[in-house]
Amino acid sequence: MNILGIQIASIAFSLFMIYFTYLSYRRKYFDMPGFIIWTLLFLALAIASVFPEGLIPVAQILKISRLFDLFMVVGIFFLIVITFINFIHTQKIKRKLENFTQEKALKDPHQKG
Amino acid sequence: MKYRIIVPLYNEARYIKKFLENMPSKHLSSLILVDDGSTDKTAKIVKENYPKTTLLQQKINLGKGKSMETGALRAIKDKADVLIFMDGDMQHKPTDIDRFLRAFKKQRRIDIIFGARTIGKNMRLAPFMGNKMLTIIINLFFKYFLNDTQCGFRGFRAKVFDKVRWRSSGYAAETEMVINAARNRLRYREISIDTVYLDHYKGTSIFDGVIILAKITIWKFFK
Repeated sequence: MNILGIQIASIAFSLFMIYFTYLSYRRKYFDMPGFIIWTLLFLALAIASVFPEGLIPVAQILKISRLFDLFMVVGIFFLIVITFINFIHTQKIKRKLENFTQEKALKDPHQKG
Repeated sequence: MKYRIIVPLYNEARYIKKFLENMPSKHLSSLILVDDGSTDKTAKIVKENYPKTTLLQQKINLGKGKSMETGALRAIKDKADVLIFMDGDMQHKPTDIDRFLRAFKKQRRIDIIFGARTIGKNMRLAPFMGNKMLTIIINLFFKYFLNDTQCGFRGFRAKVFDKVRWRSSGYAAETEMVINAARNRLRYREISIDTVYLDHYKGTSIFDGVIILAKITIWKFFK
């Protein structure tokens, strides 16, 4: 089995991200479900990088001629979804922070006169 | 007529003392100063020297729009009839406040009064062009004919607060207020005011202008 440079890079990236996910879990940045989801995701990427032929039927169904294009399309969709989720979360946090700061400012005014 | 003067402050330690010294003493107890998470001594200066004023401290910098909203909410809580907004960087003259109050007293039908700077005078070319362009676009889009839509010196009656209430947190708040007033066909007038620009690096930048322009377009077609 010939392994291309891009496959090696992809496997290395996946392994690094699995380690980083584990580290983040140990630092309690997220809980167990988050840890499992992200680990499975990077594990799937590593497996797909070692055995890309397994994805050929998927590419055929989607009428995508090259496997690399399939990775690109899935990657772009994934990024769009993640960006959207991040945007929603940022907006929610921003609103909560604004409300909290405003309420606190209104609750404790400084006035002696 | 009960009134409150709302002044959003962000790192104004250089000018705040002079600004408050120039403020007629009769207005001091009506002042609501909103410190928007300043990192300098703005709040300390106010606390130590002007205890008569109301100081609201936002511990986190939320932007001018949110500071204006915080001040407005306090004014509503104080049961003020008229809310006046002005900048605390000496750009607006405190002596002009009386002109706003007189106009509200005399013209009972007027809901909102906008300050209009003498555009071009004392103003650099880029802000002048930007201001003119935004004003023309708002006039065309919303048929609300003002000479200066970006001036922060303005006032409205408390009863129309819900109609002009803005959601923008930054400099776009003032534009949103104009657009909300236009949408609700609020009766308005303009008062020409003098402006002094002491700090050219503060206030609306070209980048802010581009964001405001994008928002105007969105508000025109999607709000």
